[in-house]
Amino acid sequence: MIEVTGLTKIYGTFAAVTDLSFQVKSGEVLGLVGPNGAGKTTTLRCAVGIIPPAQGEIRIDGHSLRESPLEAKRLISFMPDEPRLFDYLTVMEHLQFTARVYGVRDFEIKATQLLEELELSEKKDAIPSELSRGMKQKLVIACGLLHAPTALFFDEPLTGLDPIGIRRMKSTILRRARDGASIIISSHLLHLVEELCDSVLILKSGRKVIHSSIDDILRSLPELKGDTNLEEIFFHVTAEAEPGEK
Amino acid sequence: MIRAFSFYLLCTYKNMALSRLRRLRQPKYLVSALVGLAYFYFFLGRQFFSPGRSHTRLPQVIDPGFFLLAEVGFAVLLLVVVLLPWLWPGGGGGVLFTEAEIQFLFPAPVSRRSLLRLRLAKAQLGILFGVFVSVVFFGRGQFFPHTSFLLVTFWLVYSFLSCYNMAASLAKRSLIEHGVSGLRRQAWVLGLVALTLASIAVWLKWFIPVPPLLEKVTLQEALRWVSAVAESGPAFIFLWPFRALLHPAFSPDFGTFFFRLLPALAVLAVVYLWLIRSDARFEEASIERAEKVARKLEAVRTGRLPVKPPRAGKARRPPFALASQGSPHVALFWKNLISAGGIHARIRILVLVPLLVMIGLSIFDQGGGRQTVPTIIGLTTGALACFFTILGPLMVRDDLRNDLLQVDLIKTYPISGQSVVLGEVLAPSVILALMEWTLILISAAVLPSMDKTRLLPVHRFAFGLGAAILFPCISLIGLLIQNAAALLFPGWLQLGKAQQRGIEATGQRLITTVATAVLLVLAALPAAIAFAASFFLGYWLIGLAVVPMAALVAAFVILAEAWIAVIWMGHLYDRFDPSLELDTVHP
Repeated sequence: MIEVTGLTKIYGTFAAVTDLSFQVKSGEVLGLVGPNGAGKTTTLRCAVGIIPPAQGEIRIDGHSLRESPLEAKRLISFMPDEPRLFDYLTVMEHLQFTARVYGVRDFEIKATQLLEELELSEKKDAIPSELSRGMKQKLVIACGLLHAPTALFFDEPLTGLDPIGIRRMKSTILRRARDGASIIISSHLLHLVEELCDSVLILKSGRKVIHSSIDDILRSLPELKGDTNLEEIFFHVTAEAEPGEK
Repeated sequence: MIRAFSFYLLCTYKNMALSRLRRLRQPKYLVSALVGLAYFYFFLGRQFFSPGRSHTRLPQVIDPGFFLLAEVGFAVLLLVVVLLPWLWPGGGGGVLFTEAEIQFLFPAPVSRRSLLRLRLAKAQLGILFGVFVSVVFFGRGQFFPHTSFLLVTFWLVYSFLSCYNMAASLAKRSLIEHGVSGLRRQAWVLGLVALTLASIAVWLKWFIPVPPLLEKVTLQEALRWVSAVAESGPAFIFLWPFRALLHPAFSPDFGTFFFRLLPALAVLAVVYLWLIRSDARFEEASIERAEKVARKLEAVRTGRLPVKPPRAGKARRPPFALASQGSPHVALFWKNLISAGGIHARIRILVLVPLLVMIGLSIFDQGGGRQTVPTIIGLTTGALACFFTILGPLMVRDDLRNDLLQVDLIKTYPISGQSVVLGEVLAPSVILALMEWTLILISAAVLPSMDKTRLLPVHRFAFGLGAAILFPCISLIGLLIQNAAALLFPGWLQLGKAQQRGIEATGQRLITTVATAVLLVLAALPAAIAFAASFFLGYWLIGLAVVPMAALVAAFVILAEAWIAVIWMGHLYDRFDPSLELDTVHP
C-alpha cells in the first residue's frame, strides 16, 4: 500500500505540492492527472524518494521513506516518462546491474522471461544508443519489474511505445495490480487513465482537487450527465477550481 | 530581406548577451565570469590592450626574406586546407542552419541566395573572434609592419575559408547528385595533386639551381632558393591565390597595403560567387545536419554527451562477472568500470609507449652513455605517476560527477548513501591505482643505479614500494574532494563528460582546480606529518628501507580520513535534493 500524508514540496517560494494526502491500496490503480505544472511529477519524485519533501510522510507497505528508506525503496519501482539508461551497459547488463542493486535471486530466469515478454531478447547485447525510444522504454520497464515491486509508479507510461507495446503495457499494469501491487499512473492521456484506473486524483496548482472513483465523482457532481467521461470531469473540475472564476 | 535578417541577427545577439548577463545574478556565474575574464585578460587581452604597441614598425633586425618564407609557408598550408574537403570521405554536409531557421525560413518566400548570405553573415561573429585570438597569438602583430594589416589579413583568410568550406560542401553535394562517387572525386583530386607535384619537380629539376648542401647552407642562400621556387613556374601559379590573400599582412606601408588588398578581395569575391551561384540543393542536408547539431546541443545542455558517443556494436566487455547477490556498491563499481572502458588499453599504452621509446632511443643513442635512455624513461614515467596522482582525479570522472546526471534513477535504488559514495569512487580509484603502479614499476625497473648519490637498487625498490602505497591513497583523497564538491556545489562543477565552453566555464574550472589543490594539501598534511615522524624515527634504525613503512603509516592516516569522508558524503548524498541542486524543477 502507498500512503501519502500531508506531502508538501517547496522550491524557493513556490509551492509545487501543498498538503497532499492520499492512499493507494493493494491491487488498486490510481490515475494522477492535472494540467501542466499541477505537481504530478513532483509528487511522483517525492513518493519514490528522488527528492525529499519539505513536509509530510510517505509509507510503502508500512515502511516510512524517511525513517527506513532502504526497506521502502526495495518495494518501489519508478518508470519515468523519459527512459534514463546507462550509456555503456548492454540490455542484459542493465538487468544484471539492477539485480545486484536489489539483490534479486534467480536473476537469469527472471531476466530471460522479462526480455521475452517485452520482445527484447534479440537486443540483449545492445547498448542504449542502438535501441529505439520504445525499446529503451521497454528496458526501463524490464528493470523496474525485475525485483517484483509492490508499489509501481508510472510517469506517462505509453510514451514512445508502438501499438503492440501499448497493449502489452496495459496488460502488464493490470496483471501487476491483480497480483496485489499498488500502482500510480501519471498521465495526460485521460482515456488511458479511465481505462486502467480504479480511482482518479486530480491535482491543480499543487493541491488535490478531487480524489475518488469516476462513478463516485459523477455522483458527487450532479450537474454532469450520467454518460460523462473523465475528460469532461477533468475540464469541469479544473475550470471550477480556477481562483476567481465562476 | 536584408532588414529582416539584420533584425533577426541583432535580436539574437542582443538577447544572447542579455541572457548571459542575467545569469550573472547567480553568484556562481558572476564569480566564474570574473575569474574567466581575469584569466583571458592576463593571458590574452593584457598585451592587446596595453598602450604603446599599436603602431609597431617593422623591426630592422627582421630580414624581409623571412616574410617571404612565412607567406609561402602559410600559402602551402592554405592549399592543403583547401584540398582537404575533397579528400575527406563522405558527402557534402549541407549548410549549417538552426532548426528554427529551417522551420521559419525554408518554407518562407526567401531565395536560396538570401539564405546563403544569412549563413555567411552569421559566420562573421565567430570569424571576428578568431581574428582577435589569432592576432593575440601572433604577438599582437609586433613582428609585422602594422597590426591592422594583420587583422585585415586574418579576416580575409577566415572569411575565404568559411565561404570556401560552404561552397565545397555544396559542390560535393552537387557531384553526388550528379552521380560522381566519392572515390572518383578523390581520384580526380589526388590526380591533380600528383600533377602539381610532378610539374613542380620538373620545374625544379630544369629551371631552379640545385640548393646547396644542407650542412653548408646559409640563411640567405636558403631564402634565395625558396624565393626562386615560389616566384616562378607552377608553384607560383598554384600558390598565387593563397599568397594574394596573405600578401597584405606583409605590406611595408598603407599605400602598398591597399594595393595588395585588391587581388585578395578578388580571390574572396571569386569564392563568394562560386558559393552563391552553386546549383546544389542544400536544404535536405541542412535539415539532417541541423537535427544532428540540435541533438548534440541538447546533450551538451543536459550534460549527457559522451566524449565519444558509443557506436553501434561497440558494447564494452565487463571487467568481471557480477553476481546478483552481495554488496550493492559493487554493482556501481562494476558499472563505472564498464563506463570508463579501455582499462587494459590504458595499461598497455603505459607499458608499450615507454618500451617503444626506449628501443627507439637506444637505436639512436650512439655512444651517449648506456644510462641516458633508461634515465630519461625512468624519470618520465616517475613524473607521469606523480602527474596522475595529483591530476588524475580531475581526468578520470566515472563517479558521482558523471552519475549525478542519472540521480533520478540512482536515488530510487535501495542503497545507502555511504554505499553509493563508496561504489562511485571505487572505479576511478582502481583505474588510477593501476596506472600509477604500472608507471612506478617501469620507473623503478629501468632507472639505472646512481652510485654517486648512493641510490642503490634496494633504495630504489624502497622508494618504488613507498610510492606504490602512497600514490593511490592520495588519488583517492583527490577523488573524494571532487565527489564531495559535486554533492555540495553541483552547479559549480562540470557534471558529465561533456566539456562546457565560455568564460564562465573557464572560470569555474579554474576555481575548482585551485580549491581542489588547496583541499588536497590540507588533507595530505596529517599524513605528511605521520610520514615524516615515522621516517625520522625509523631512519636511524634501518636507513632508507623505512620508506615503505612510513608510507604505510601515512596511508593508514589517509584511509582513515577517506573513511570519515565517505560517511560524511553518504549523509550528503542522502540529503541531496536534485530538484534544487541541479537547476531542474519538475512541477
